[in-house]
Amino acid sequence: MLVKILFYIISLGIAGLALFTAMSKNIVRSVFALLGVMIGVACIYGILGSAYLAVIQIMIYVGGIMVLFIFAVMFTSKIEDINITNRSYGWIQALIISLAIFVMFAFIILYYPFEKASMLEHQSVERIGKVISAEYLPFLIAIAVILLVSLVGAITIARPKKE
Amino acid sequence: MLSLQETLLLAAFLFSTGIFIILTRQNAIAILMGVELILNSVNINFVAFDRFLFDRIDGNIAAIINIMIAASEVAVALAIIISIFRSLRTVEADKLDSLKG
Repeated sequence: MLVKILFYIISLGIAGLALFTAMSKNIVRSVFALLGVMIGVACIYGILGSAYLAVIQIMIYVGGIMVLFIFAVMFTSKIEDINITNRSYGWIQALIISLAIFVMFAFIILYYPFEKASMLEHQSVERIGKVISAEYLPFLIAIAVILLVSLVGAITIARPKKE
Repeated sequence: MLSLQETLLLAAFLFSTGIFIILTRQNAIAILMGVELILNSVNINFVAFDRFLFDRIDGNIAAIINIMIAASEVAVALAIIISIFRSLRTVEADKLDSLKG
């Protein structure tokens, strides 16, 4: 019961922060609301019992990706027209489309007969380590290569060109 | 006790909010933020299905791989956006039409 109350509080926080990310006029506020969403999603992982994924989420999303976002926002917008750079348009059509998607998903979720809906206690860090280093080793190596190539590519693209 | 449907509903809400952000924003960085929201909702789905339905751990590993791919994608995309800003002085998606004939 306590878990459920905690889940509802965190879900309401995530939903509000996501809506703030969608609606805010100021892009810096938008980025910080998205950071709050990431921290809330890490809490959801913790509630669902995979602590390793929560730590990964905090380290990579909050510590890496959001810092990259904040740097990019600071680079690409001048401070005086920071309110102009986050314009949005086409609200009504986008609202119709996203509401249609949400209603469709909710219909499927609420009416699909899932087999058993009880929490299983099996997601330990030890088991993740064993599985990812035995069955999923090719994926791990491919991910390492992809990360290396994309970081080198990012540095090469973003570096100012010397004439 | 927490049920699968509530978690899936939260993920569906995050997904449609991300779609809304992608459809309405003009700034390219804000569009990337919508993509990040969508990736997070997919990760919540993976973890929830793994937690509630199956006695395996593949969903967690899929979420880990997804997070890594998101990190590399964001690095490359933000580098491209900064490079575009350096040459064109704008990041608005409607004005990046220099490939148009």
